[in-house]
Amino acid sequence: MAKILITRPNHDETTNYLYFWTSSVIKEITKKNMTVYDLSSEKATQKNLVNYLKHDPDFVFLNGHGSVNLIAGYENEVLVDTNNTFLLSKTKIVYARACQAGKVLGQHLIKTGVKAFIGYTSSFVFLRIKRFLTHPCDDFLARLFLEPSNLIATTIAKGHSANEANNRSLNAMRKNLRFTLSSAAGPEEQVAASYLWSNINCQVLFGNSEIKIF
Amino acid sequence: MSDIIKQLVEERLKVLPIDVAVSIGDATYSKDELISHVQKGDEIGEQISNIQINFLQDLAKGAMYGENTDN
Repeated sequence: MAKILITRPNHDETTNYLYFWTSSVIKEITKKNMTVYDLSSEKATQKNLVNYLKHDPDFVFLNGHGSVNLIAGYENEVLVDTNNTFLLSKTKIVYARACQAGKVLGQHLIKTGVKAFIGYTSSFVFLRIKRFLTHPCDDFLARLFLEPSNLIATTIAKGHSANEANNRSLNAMRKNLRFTLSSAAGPEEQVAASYLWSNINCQVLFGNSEIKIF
Repeated sequence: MSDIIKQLVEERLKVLPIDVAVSIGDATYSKDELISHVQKGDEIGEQISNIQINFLQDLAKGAMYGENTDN
């Protein structure tokens, strides 16, 4: 049975959106009868991460703030940085839905044993409608950004390769981009195009692109 | 960043609907906050400007109408 470890802090508006949008990933993964270690909210700490990595998860899905050399958890506590990438050395695939971690940290993870890494070399940007703050999953504008990124996690969890997950996500973003450039898009959706294009251009896959978790 | 580029980016940001927020990095910004960052030319302002300028350049090249990636 494949094992999946997820971190999803929710200490500010941005992480709260990622927290809620990750719920649908968990719902889908749970249907597949997989073991899911969900480090949500204040449980997204380095201590908990270290403990759960002892279960050797096949796939680690990290949500939160990031920079070129780190990914953070609850209240921006550092979870993974270039000094402790060895902790994930047995992980097959890491997906970091966090800003910039693809620039330096992703390559570090590959060097220390992670088979494949998907992340972003620049800021992961999304637009949202303010009135959906308390119910983010109904936000049709954020959906254009977060649904394609969720696709990375769900595709990997279904046993497809890192490359398939990356491509499905990019194609979904391109489809959303074309929609935002069309006359069918509303005023909020039309302004999303440049930000979707930015995410498309900074999404990267390193390592063995054909690796699967089972 | 030249004043003409700043002005172009500001004009593009002005069309952001008032109820839209942009999550970038570790914060969320309103239209007015983004315009202020661009005017100051700080890190967020630079990031937003690069996003807008890269988009316009690639739009002119037709780059975003390319083929989808095969699985």
